[in-house]
Amino acid sequence: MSSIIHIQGLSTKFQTDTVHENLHLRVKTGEILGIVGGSGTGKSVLLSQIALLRRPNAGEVYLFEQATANLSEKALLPIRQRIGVMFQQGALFSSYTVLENICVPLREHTKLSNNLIRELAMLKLKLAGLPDHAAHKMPNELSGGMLKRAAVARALALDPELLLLDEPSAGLDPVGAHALDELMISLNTTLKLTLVLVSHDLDSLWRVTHRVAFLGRKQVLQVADMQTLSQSDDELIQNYFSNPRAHAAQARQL
Amino acid sequence: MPLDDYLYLDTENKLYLQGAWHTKTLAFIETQVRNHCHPEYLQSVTHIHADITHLDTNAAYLLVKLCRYFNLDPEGLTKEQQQTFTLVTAHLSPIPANQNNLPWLASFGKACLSPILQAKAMLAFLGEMSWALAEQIRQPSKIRLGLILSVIENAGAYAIPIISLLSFLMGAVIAYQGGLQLQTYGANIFIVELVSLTLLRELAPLITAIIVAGRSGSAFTAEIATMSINDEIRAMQSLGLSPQHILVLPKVMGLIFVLPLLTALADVAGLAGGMLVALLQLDVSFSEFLQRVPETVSVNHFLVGISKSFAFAWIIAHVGCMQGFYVQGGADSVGRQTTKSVVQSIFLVILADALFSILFTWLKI
Repeated sequence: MSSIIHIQGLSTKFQTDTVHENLHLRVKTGEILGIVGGSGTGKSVLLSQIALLRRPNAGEVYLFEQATANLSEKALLPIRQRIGVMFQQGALFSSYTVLENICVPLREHTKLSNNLIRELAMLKLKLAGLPDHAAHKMPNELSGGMLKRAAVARALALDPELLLLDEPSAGLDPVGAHALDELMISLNTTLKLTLVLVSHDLDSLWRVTHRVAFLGRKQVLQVADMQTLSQSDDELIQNYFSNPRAHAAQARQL
Repeated sequence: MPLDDYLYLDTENKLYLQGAWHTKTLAFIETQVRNHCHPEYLQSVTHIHADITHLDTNAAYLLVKLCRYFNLDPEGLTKEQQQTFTLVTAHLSPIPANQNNLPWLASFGKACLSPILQAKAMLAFLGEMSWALAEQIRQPSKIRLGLILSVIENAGAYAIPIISLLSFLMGAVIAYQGGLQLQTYGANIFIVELVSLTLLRELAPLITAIIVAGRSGSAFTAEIATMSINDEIRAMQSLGLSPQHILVLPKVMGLIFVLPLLTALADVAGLAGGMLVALLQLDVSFSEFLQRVPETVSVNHFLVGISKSFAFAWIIAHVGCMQGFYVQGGADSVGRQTTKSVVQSIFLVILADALFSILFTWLKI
């Protein structure tokens, strides 16, 4: 199977701190990959590098089998259009309605007629599982779960092949979190989307992911399915999975 | 006979679809689909045959519309394409009517009501503020000196350069324009009265208030509005702190203290500007000018200007804080409230100035 993302020898530095050093990671086309790790291990930074929002200090990120580290902003644009990003707080434009938010990328990057753009936006809204009446709401009138769905809908506007999600279930009630898990699975199976998600929600990781990359000691320590990862010999990984909450999440899955 | 790249009608009236149907090519496809969705074809097209390499959901939507128009099912889709097609069909939904769009009469009514509601809100806020002030005066130990000092520093000390510069220029301009007229009558010396009266009584308090409204009134609004969006105001209340005491009163007190001082500074800078032009243009020396000011201009004019600035300070702080608290929603609302705050405080400052004019004339000051 081909890899949609291939990260080679990546290093990231913040002034004096080194976050990643010589990090390697491969994401297969069509899989759901989780990224986990303790706080400050650079999960969100890694995600923003995959989203081409931050350039690595060293190393190379291959997206769709194309090296990106030395490309100009202009050359990055067609690659960016193939990636959808859902930010942690949704990051919807607060002065636009939900429908207008979804229209933004379509208006910017296609020459479609206005009517078709609005109809496509409505389709994305439904695909993300939002009710009809959410279309004309302002982002601040939405609940947390609806906000995240609207953010997914906007990320899907240009029919990307890769969807990146930063803590999708953070701040959601169990019902909303579960519904979002189901949405991610259905996007993966029906639209053949590759999903990469940063998450701390172990229930969600068990339920959704095919494989999980564990970040620690400035590298990817192990990439495996949750079952294998939870029985890893590595001390850091054992620590992460040996607390009562992790056990409870595992028990629920087995 | 192929008509174009993505779809064509063959001699047996089969509509053939070909090429890559995805978002990037969709704009071309849309125009071509539009050409084929023509009543003249409606009866004649008997089959839709798809032989396409890609089909994403956006393109599938267009395909669904096309098929619905001819009331036909597409043939020849691969299994995956059929899945996408079915998925999109299952999620079709018309765009609901936007109920936020009011009919014109309703929006007219709303527009008429808004100034009344604003005035009501202002009165309510004035009440809250006065109540908080009364509480504070009863318990002077609760006055937050540190916060007041920071307002004095930010709204006062840092505004000194801009206010001196602008008042200096203002004084110079008045002296220059007035001087041209006075020169024709040979009444050069009256430049002293002209400059000092206009500045002390009217222009210095007004220009200072306008600068402070733009500099600090807007900052008050933006600060309080951002805090309100971040739930910081509610956090304060839950911790038993009064937002009025912490956010509003220090700003009111600080501004009431500092605006009269800035006005006095503007008086001095403006007179200096006038003096310079008087010397260069009208041959009125500095000593003549300075001697004549106390001789002909009563100290009342200076006091009138200063007393007005107390009221202006109250208006600016009042409007600035109030608009901050009335923020609703997100980042765009902060911008809207800040604009409102500056426009409203400058409007009210000038209105108050007019009322003061009438009052002082009536009192014969």
